[in-house]
Amino acid sequence: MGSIDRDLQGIYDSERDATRTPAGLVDVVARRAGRRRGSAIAGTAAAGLAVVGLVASLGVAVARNSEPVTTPDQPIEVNMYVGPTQGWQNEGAMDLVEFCGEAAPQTKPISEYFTLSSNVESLADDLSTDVTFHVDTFAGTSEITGTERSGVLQITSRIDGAGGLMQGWLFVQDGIVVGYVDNVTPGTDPLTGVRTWEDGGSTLLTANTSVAVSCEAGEMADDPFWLVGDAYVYGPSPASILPAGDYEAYPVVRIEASDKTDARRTLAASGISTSLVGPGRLAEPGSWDCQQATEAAGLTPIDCVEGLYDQAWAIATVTVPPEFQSPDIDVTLVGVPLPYSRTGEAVVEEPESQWTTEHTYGMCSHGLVDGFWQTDGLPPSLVSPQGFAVLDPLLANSSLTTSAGILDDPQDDGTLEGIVDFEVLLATDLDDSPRFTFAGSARATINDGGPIILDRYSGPTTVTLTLSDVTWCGDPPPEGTVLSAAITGSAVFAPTGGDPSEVAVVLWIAPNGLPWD
Amino acid sequence: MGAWRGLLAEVVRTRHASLLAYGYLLTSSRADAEDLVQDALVKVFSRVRTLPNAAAADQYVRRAMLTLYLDRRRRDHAWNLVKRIVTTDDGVAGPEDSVTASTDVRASLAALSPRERACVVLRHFDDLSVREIAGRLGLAEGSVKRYLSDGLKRLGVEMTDDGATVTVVAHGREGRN
Repeated sequence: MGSIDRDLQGIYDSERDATRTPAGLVDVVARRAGRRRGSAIAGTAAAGLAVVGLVASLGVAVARNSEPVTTPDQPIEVNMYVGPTQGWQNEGAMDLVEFCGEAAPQTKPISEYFTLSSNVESLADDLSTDVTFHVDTFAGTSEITGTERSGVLQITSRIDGAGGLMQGWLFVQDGIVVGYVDNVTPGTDPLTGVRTWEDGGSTLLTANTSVAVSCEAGEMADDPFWLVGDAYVYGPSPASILPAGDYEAYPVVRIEASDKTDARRTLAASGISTSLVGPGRLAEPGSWDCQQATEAAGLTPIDCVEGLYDQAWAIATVTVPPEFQSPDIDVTLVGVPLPYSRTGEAVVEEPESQWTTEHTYGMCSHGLVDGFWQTDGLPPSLVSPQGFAVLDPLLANSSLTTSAGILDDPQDDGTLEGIVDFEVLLATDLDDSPRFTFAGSARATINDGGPIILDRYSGPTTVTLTLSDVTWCGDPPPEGTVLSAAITGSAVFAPTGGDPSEVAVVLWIAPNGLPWD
Repeated sequence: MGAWRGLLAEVVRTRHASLLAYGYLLTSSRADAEDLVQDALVKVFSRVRTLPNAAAADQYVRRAMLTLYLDRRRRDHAWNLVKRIVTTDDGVAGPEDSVTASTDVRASLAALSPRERACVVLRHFDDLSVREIAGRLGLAEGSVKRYLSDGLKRLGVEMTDDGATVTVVAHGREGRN
């Protein structure tokens, strides 16, 4: 067995022995899986119901669910696993890629509770024309009369609640799904991610500009990062986009109401969001992180609420009062397909800046600039604080001394010392664009090598940052460019209550804003 | 309680630790591994299928972990891209993890791209062939070889053309030929 094999096995064994199983994990998984199993079974039944619904839309009276209404009168406790990385999972997620290669879906525009209808006869070439869909409850269907109406009233009173919404498209050629669009703008409250339904109400789901992904893209579709010239670009690559041709476009809408959406709505009513302060980490209630996040979002992140979130087990317990309790609903509606002709190649914005492609990291012979930061020669353990400062004066000067705010990330509270003459990678971080370009190199010293206090609870520490020996990859970036910097080297870190040791440091200085902006 | 719930309980009781360890190999982060394992369990046990025993379920879950791990990258924020380019993941080994001989591999593994890491784990932990990895990940065999080559190079190992054998050229260790 090779060394790598042994090393991997060693890591595996070490991790296996060091882990513990959270109490309640089986219940949490079973609840999530059980809901999906239920929807899968209901989906099978819905195929039959769709036929019934179509008949109803033609004016034929149909017997409906006359199950007695059970009005909740007690609060319930909803326990949610909210992991530090994934956070609170949104409702109604659809993995449309799973339809790839399958036969065209069966059209199911009517379910037990909802109907789906569109107001257009075809899709615009670039998907940019708004297409509106009505999702109506049956209470608005005038054909329902007599006995059926009383049943409908019972049903509609039961669906007066909240639900998650997702919308997407499947593209079919020769009867086979060959592409898809998901994550089309849902008709939900942007703060809560929940749509509140009323008796007889309807909502408009607007398909805005989205990129149709080709099933043929395979691995490319998984990777939103690609290269234009030598610059990394965030977005779909040309190879992943549905090619020109004639398709049938099937609208797909999923609506889910559950104890989770009830809990989400309950929290929102109390000014609490289901978001965590930051991806990959949890915040302490009362911390600077919590203050900042609450001010920015207008809602308090769930990990900032004392007594609501169990950090040890990443479980949030929400008490849902009767007025926020909805029945479980999980329906997927597939609308009548619309003709869709793509005449041109997909439009992907190319980097327009003349220097973006000219001054690339590939043209810089800098030790840092090799696509990935290399760890050669540096200690294996890593401290990766983040900071923010305005670096734009560097465009007109070869050196700069300025103030910077430094935060530890993740929460490695302690003291960092010895940042002197570190290597600096300068990058551009263009406003309104997620792409960036490596622009040059420099040297950095912070606090003349003196200590930097890293305390996530208290917030950023103000330091003096000195950048010198700036070397651009070519011409300096133009005015108006926003600069960022990655500062790296070896320093001494003393964790709170621990012994100091030499560590690798990668300090990312973001322009202006806070790290999570 | 359905039979599937009983099997789920057995899988969690007997295999959760090893699944988390496998998740760590993929993600280099215990937090990410916990998320990954739970999501994979949900995915596997959501399907109305017959799983004969915990061992079979374990294999399904591991496959689901791999798929979810690679899919999740689609939803990464641009900020994470920036961090990925200039540094390693948050979950890189800290001082408390640095006591074993595999410390260097932990750090280097964390610096690999997700696909590189997936290919390395499948080849050198799951012992799959290049063809099997290609089938598992939906990639061309050439792509797998490239990911393996790039990944192993970062780990200090070179790979022969067929991807089946490796020679260790760093860390002063010998590999298999």
